[in-house]
Amino acid sequence: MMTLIGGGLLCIGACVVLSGAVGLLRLPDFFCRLHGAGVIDTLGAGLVILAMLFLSGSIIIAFKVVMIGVLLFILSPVTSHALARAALQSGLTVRADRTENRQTTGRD
Amino acid sequence: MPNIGLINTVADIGLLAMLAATAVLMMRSQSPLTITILSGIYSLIMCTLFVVLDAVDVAFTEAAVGVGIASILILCVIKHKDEPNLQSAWPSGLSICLGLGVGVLAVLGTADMAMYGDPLAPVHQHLAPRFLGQSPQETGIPNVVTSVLASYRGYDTLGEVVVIFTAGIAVLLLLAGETRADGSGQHKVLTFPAGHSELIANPVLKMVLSRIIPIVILFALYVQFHGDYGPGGGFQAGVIFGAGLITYGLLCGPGKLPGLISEKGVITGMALGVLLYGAVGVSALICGGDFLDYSVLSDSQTAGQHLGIFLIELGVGMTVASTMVSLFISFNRDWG
Amino acid sequence: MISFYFLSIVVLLLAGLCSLIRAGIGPTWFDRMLAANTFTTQSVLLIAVYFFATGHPEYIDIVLLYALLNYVGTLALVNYFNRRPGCGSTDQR
Repeated sequence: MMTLIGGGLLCIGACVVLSGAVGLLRLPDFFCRLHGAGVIDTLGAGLVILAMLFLSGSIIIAFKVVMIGVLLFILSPVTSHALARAALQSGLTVRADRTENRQTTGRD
Repeated sequence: MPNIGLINTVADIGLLAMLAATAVLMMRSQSPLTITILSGIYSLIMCTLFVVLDAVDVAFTEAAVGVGIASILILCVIKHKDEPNLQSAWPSGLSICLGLGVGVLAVLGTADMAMYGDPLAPVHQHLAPRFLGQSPQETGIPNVVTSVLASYRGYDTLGEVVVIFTAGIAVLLLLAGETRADGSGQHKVLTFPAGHSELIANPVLKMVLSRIIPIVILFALYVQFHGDYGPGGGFQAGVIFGAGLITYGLLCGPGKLPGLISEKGVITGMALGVLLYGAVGVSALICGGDFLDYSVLSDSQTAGQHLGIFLIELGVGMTVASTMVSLFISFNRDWG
Repeated sequence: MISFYFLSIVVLLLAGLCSLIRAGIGPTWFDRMLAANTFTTQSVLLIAVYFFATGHPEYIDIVLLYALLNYVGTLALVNYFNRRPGCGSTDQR
């Protein structure tokens, strides 16, 4: 039963991660793409880690999995926040017109 | 588990394809920043490949170095050098021919190698059974990688530590000698930038990272002392410890780091680690054994091995952590 | 049971490919950095799932290390942009 729940959650989580990655690829500008990354960092990672919690046999591995979940949940949004702030401060603008995606700032 | 072979095959193909794609992207890119970011991805793919190849200790080292220190040091170098753009995008014809030739020779060289996992390969005939069969009795340490690295091949590891120490000293000497003439013809020496870093002004970063740094340091100590039983050891722990201190430097400004640990102390730590390693070897000589033969250090053989491996891993960790921190400190001086 | 693992590993590899493409085409440094960040999370999950699939969950320390130190690269890059205000706003090709 535990493995069934774990396996199901694992597949759902992996699919959520894939949908976030497709969002990262397809969305028009940086600030939109942050949404895709957010889906991966929170819901996708959370589901996969919950699945691993069901699949872990021993208490020490379950503890480490919980630690990984807590760290990802705290640190990923913080890094995304720092990145978005740096992008905003360096002159990358949010565009309301989504079809027009010609960014000139921050290009390399 | 019948499907592991299939998982391995699919993971191998997918990861190697992504690795090649990343390498081509890095080659085509013109901006050092882009190359830095892509090299982080390259290191991640390599780490996953090492995991698939069952080399957990190597993967752990790749993870620690790739995510903890590599991008910081590359960014320090880019920042130190004023001009952030590369000129030529595509290599010339001669270098392409040279690279292709060396590549073809390397591929030809693999023809004589044993197949991956071949039980009849020479390495599986005499060395591997010896280490796998007898190292737990001889050293009393469950992780064979640690006992091979620290005990059977102690010379090798001593050499590696000396290499890290020498490289660190060389970079410090190069940076210490730099002066630049200002408008009046006076030479100026590098000093730390005044004031705080902008990152500490961000309350989110200050709140979260100041609480993460102790956890990073704690995890480094766990890796240091748990290396006998799981993946990890002195090298990885040193890098993680250094990354924790460098986080403090990034957060509060590099000029605040010498207030936490004195710069002279860090450089002393570099030398002390190597000295500790060498002293363990010499004390084995004094106790009547061979150089770096830890068995004579204590009453029983396994207790001696435990003591010796503990001490040299400590020395390795000290040298690696101090080298990382002192490199970070000396790269982040500004022209005063 | 194993096929759950197989399916999720294949899906995670595809997700990694999407992030890699975004890191390759940019167009800004921030896009690349975001893609690299996402790629780290995906590799973390991939390595963890692989350990569970092969029955060695005790090696999960590697995943813990990645989860703990993931922020360092981004922090270094953000610090880089803070110290050079003009860097992000010029069109450097």
